[in-house]
Amino acid sequence: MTDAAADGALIERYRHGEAEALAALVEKYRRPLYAYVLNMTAGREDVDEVFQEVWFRVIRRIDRYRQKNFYGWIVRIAHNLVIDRARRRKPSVSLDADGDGDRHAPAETVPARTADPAAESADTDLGRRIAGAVRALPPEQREVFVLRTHGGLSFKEVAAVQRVSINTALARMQYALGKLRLMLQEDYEQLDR
Amino acid sequence: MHCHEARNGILLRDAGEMSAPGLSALDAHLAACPDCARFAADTARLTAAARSAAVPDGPSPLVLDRIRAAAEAAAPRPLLLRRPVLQSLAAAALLLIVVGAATLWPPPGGGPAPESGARTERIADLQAVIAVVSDEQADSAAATAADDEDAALQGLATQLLRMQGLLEDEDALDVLAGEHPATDPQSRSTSALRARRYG
Repeated sequence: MTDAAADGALIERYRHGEAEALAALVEKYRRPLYAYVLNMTAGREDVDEVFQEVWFRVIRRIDRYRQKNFYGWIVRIAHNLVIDRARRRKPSVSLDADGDGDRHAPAETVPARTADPAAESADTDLGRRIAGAVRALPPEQREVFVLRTHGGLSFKEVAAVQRVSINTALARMQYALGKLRLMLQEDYEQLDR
Repeated sequence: MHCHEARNGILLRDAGEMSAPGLSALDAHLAACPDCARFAADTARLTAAARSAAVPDGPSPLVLDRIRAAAEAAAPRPLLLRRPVLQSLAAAALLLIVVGAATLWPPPGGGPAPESGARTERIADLQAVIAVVSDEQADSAAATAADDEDAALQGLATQLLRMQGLLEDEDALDVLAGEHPATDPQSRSTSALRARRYG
């Protein structure tokens, strides 16, 4: 059974009253959706709240679900929620705007290496530096990168989530990779290990 | 193929979105262009590192519990637990018992058992009552549940008839299968039933 068919079967079961079927979908997409929300929101306490609200909206709208890609659908819901919250909190942060330019200076936002030994041991952790570098990307580029790497969406699906052309999604990915390469230059040797 | 096109091609290839002819052209370009070959290697390295970078497991268990509770509260209830269905079934069962007792029990004083034709008539009466009850209940029930309710009521009627031993009758089976136009339950009205029963 394909992923889409398996998801469709779970949705049908939920529509017929099996609450466990939705719990199975929550479990299946817990990590990629959480990674997406974590990368697209500013604070940890906001992450849980957004994650929860996404599933509440899924539950309310499940009868309207007619698509083939369930993860693409819930990401679209999360995307809209993140935009709503960003507009309410920080009007300057927008996922709708063209984010292909260099509005953010990566060097200012990536966690810097430090001389403090304790902080050094935490900060040199490659995973954290990569996560920090990804979060330093402009939102539109970050979203493309996260949806591709953690969500496994195709560029066609990413473009649908962002409501842009596939060429724009590809260009955003190229910008993101270029910036990450620059930000992680010092860690490059470790990336090969 | 230009370098810009080739780099888009590398991304599409990694996402499994490139056609076979496109792949051949890309391979040819990569063999001749060291910059694009480096871009391909860097892309693979960065995306693999990002995938393997620690990602938190998920939200707090409390959040997951809340989502589960919301899913349970919002899940459509199974047919037999829905209130309108239960009400319909209870009303139908009560009517069937009363009408069934009145029509199928032998008259006091021990008269002869009803003939096959008479049984068929009575079954048709019962079905007409079921149809009336279904129509009345369908108004208050959700539209989407109407078909399920009809099926449940028909099932209940069948069970009651089986208990009365009427389903062994061939004529009765014809009536239940809707193959007896003269006794089509949908064609009978409540007033006609009352007139026949009470004179």
